[in-house]
Amino acid sequence: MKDFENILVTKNYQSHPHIGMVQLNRPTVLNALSTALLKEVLEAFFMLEDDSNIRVIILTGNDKAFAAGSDIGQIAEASAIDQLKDTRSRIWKQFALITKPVIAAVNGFALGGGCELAMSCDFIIAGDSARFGQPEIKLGTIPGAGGTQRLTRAIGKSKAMLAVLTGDMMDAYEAEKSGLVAKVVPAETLLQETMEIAKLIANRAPVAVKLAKEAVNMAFETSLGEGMEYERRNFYLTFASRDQKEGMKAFMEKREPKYQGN
Amino acid sequence: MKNFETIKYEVISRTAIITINRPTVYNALNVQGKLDLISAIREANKDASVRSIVLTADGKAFCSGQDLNDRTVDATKGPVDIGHTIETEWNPLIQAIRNSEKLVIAAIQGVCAGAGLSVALACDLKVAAPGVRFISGFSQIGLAPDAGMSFMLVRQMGYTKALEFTLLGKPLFSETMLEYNFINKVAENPLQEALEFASQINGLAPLSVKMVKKNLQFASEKELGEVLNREKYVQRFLGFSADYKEGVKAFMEKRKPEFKGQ
Repeated sequence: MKDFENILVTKNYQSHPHIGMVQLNRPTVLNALSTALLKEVLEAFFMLEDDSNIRVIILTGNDKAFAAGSDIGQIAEASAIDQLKDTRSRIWKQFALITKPVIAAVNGFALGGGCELAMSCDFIIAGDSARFGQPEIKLGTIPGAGGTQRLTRAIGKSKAMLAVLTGDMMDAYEAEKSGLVAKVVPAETLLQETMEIAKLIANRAPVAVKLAKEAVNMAFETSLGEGMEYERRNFYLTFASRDQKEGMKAFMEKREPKYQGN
Repeated sequence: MKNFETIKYEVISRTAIITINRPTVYNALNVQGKLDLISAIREANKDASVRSIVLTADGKAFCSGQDLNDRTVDATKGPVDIGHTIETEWNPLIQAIRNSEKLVIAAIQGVCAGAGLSVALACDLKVAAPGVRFISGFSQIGLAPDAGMSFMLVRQMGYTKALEFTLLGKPLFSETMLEYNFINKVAENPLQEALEFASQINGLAPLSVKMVKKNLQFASEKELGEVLNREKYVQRFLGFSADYKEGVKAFMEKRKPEFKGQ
């Protein structure tokens, strides 16, 4: 496997054949999101996306920080045109091309770009030490990678406004209550419990998982009517898979299904 | 070892002993006092040789709470924002004690008043000398209990008694505090008893101590369903620990376990 400088990538995480782990690894700077790091995350995602054995991807940081925002040193003196020419927005857009489920496992700080990176995953599991926020306003700027859009869709206008306009952080339980986070677990058990969830998903039919992820994401891109149509078509499509036949057969025979991913 | 202005800090047989050392002002805490306590608790948590913390004090009082001579709270010279003092000094101190991964054992003598009582109540185990006067005192100067006192009082003595205690200003003594389960023990020499507690705790598995503390705090704030889930996550985590293996092995071999904190 390719050597990465800013992240650690493990296929078959904890010997599980279908789970890939990407760990942000710039601990001395709380995993600040340099362009190099973002590029590597994207590259690792594509690598795991292309590996037919991998069914679920976990993205995590360390116990102090998932990621605490951008490298402020890198951008403090930038001009608007520098930012316009920056390739980062292209990287951010490509995260959406990953069709396998990506779970963000967050301990410690997920701030600014770190919060945006967590939100660009399919769902977030948080350790009880996690803190989320979009502090850009405190530095005289605003979120630039989805902080105003994804956060608003996740927690609603009023709470998003409060977070984005004050720049203050919310803790894991508040994030769970407001819908930003799917589940809070004790910080010490974050990877262990995220693995439990990843294993559940890895045991589901991969084609159905992919179509389901697509359909849920469509809820943010279309009207309800179009979204319902889209869902319906993906529903039909699952019936073209062997795994759907296997799933229903196993259900009737009261046994565990064996999915092949086709 | 670190030197502090307002406290003494020493480590004796795996226990960090923190002594509040402002006897001339009945151990009231100014800004530095609170910051020193927070930093000492952090220091003890970072020090791998330390397994428990004893919090005690020199002089006629354990702690008399906020130092009213602090410019930041002296309302006679203009408006003061006590909310700021609480947010930046008292609440972080209470959180430092509650979130300390190593147990904080209070050895209480003399008087324990105002936010000083909040600090004592936030500790994990408490030993008091006979006849210690516990006073709320807030209502006597036109304020309301802070630094978590309302939370602690209402859970231990119920709303009605807590209201009487906080509003009318009458002290409760060690013996009554013991009846209300606010403290574990009344002892002529509270420091010695606190160190006895500490030495017992130092022999336990550190991960177990830390998780029991967190679980019980969680249980006092949440619903049964959430508590059952948390217990499961934590038990799975502890079940994977080397110390659990050692604990079971020692039990089978009928010897004392040697826990390493892993």
